Amino acid sequence: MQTRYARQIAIPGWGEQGQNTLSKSTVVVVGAGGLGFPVLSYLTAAGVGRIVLFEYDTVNETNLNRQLLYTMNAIGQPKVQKAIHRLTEMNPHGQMIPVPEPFSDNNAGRYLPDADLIIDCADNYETRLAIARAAHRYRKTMVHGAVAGFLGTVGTFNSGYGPCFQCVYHEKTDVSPPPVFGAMAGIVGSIQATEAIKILINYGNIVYNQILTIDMETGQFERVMISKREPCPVCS
Amino acid sequence: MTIYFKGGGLLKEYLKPDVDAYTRKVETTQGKTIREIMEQINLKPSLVSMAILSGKVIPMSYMPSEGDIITLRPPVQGG
Repeated sequence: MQTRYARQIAIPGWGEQGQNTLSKSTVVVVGAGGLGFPVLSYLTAAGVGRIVLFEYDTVNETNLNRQLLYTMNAIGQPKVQKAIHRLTEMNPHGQMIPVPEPFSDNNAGRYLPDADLIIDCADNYETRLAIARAAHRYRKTMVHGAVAGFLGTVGTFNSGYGPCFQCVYHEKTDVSPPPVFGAMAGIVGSIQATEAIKILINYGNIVYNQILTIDMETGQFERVMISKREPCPVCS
Repeated sequence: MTIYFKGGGLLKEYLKPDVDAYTRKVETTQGKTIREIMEQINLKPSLVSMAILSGKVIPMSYMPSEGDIITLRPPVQGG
């Protein structure tokens, strides 16, 4: 099995130890859509031992420009089922736990206490707030991602030790439905997956207290500092 | 005083940039907040989820100084 991961084990600082750590890790992923596709694919391929996937939606045709876990044949079918089937084909060695429910304060406690981190691949403010509240309650790192048009954002919130999602995003300002295309979701989700792996194997600089703003219209990536908001309804 | 708002994505259409493709020059008075200056130029605050100055996220209650270049980010909430 280690042959499968030989190319990443060869990365200095990753090694067999890092790979073993990944194989024993549990990650909660909320959403198997545009961001979920690259996040789930890369974590599965990298050998994360256990992935708990919250996803309650069914596949529709408007998903297919970016949610590459699904094909035309999947339209009308539960995303979580199709996603886990595809991911298991990709790597049968991990454990995939489907949760066909919206992520909420009521079910967060079922899996989050035993998880190593939670990845936000949601598509709405309310779910992201629920993720932030749960991450704070169970002291888990939240890897947030979001995309709209040619803009993207990635943020790693170290719950209990710094600003949280709501410190940065005070109010709901959704544009419904948010405009999204595949390559942008791929960029943001890939960065989320990379940050998640770094956290799991304790590699490199985990950049807390900052968010990465991405503007692919101009080709600019910028790290901006964030600070705790006092009082914050989530983390104060 | 003169400040500058920069914005991309969906915000460009509402910002009406006049310095370059992304930047709008605004003449305003000191003591106004970002939110108030946006209202002055008919830019709805609900179109903006974040304001950034010198590499830091700043609150909409921040009062700019002469020459400030403030990046406004539209809502980025898709997934």
